[in-house]
Amino acid sequence: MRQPGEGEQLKGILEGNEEVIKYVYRRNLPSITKFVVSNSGTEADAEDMFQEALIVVYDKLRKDQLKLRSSLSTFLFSICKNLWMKVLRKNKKSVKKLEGEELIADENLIESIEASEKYLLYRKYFRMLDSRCRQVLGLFISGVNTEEVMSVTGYSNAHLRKKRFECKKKLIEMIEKDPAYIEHAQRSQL
Amino acid sequence: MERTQELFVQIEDYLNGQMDAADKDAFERQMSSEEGLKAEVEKHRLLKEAMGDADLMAFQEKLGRVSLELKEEAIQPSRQSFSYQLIFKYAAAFLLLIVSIIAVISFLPNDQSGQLFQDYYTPYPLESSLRGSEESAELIVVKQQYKNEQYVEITSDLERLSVYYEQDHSLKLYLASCYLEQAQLQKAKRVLSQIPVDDHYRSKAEWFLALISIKEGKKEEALILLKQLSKSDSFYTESAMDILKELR
Repeated sequence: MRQPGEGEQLKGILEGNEEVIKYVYRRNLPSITKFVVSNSGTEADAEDMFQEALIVVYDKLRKDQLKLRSSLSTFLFSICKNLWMKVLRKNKKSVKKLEGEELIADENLIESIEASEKYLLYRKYFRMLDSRCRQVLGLFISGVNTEEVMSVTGYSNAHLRKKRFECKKKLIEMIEKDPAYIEHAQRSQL
Repeated sequence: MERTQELFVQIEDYLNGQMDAADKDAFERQMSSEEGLKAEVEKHRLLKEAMGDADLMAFQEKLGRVSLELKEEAIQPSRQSFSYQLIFKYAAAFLLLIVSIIAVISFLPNDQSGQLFQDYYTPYPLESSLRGSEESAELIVVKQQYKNEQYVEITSDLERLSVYYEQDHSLKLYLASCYLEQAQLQKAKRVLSQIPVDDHYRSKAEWFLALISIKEGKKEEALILLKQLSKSDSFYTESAMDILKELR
């Protein structure tokens, strides 16, 4: 595949073009991983931040609110860096400065990051559920009625109710075990 | 607060506006007097907000698929992609291996313990998946990578997966093996110690704990574990008996 230009990358993200998304992944994830790993994180943390940044871009694109004042790569890096710094601050860890990487002081971006931060753990652990749980919870949360969910999943009503409960319970329990959540909960109690 | 199916249904009905006025009032009164319930409702509300957008959910699923495909591509490099870049990767891996071996050797308390560890240590073998078990695609990929001995690459994935599948103690054994391959004895010890004493994987964990004790020069600790193992009927019983003879 030839290298897509900036406009094609944005169009590809909006249309969910997997080849373009793969290109964006390959082009940007290594630098984000380098930053996160050199700041007390893991490759998995880096990928979580990167997916969250892509969700922000996708959300802004579909609402026609994306006004890039820099390259897409810089924008993605800024979101990831901001999000990871917030995670580190919650864990009381400092951040190494990387030369040449400036934060974008854009109100829209800050708003998006704050919204993402709020949902980060929920999305992160939702991604870690097995495919059956993601399907069941996803359908219900999107407002699909029980009969349709039964038809899609092939579960009986009783089994579906049990599965829905177990998946949601598992998800909440995973979130509660995350250090960032524990830290936040402890601060709230102070 | 105990999480029950009934409680979850009640919370969902409340958040979806499906309660009648009297039930809603009663539920809100209960929330104002019970902090635990209020916090639980907030968690469900955030979950609903985070996941309630079907388009975003579909996009997120797509990202998951793309990520998985890229990982699969990474573990199955095609012949055509063989290039200088690949040669450099292998050279780097070889260099890492040499550095690891030097690190391992330099940390050995004495020659005998290091030799014994080397003679007896092999990573925990990959178990075949149970028929009908529902494994996530990511777990399947990680296990394949483990089989391909990509221990460094999968360590962070296994750290996460072993928390998620906390009841699947085989993952802790794989993770411990990854740590041991990188001479990270303390991390291996920590994860092995998390396997409950009454679990059938415990004896396997004790085998690796015994090997770590040998490597650390803690002969007494190793002897206690190995004696227990030699009397049990486990996968490592014979190996434990053999190593005991050598230690004595």
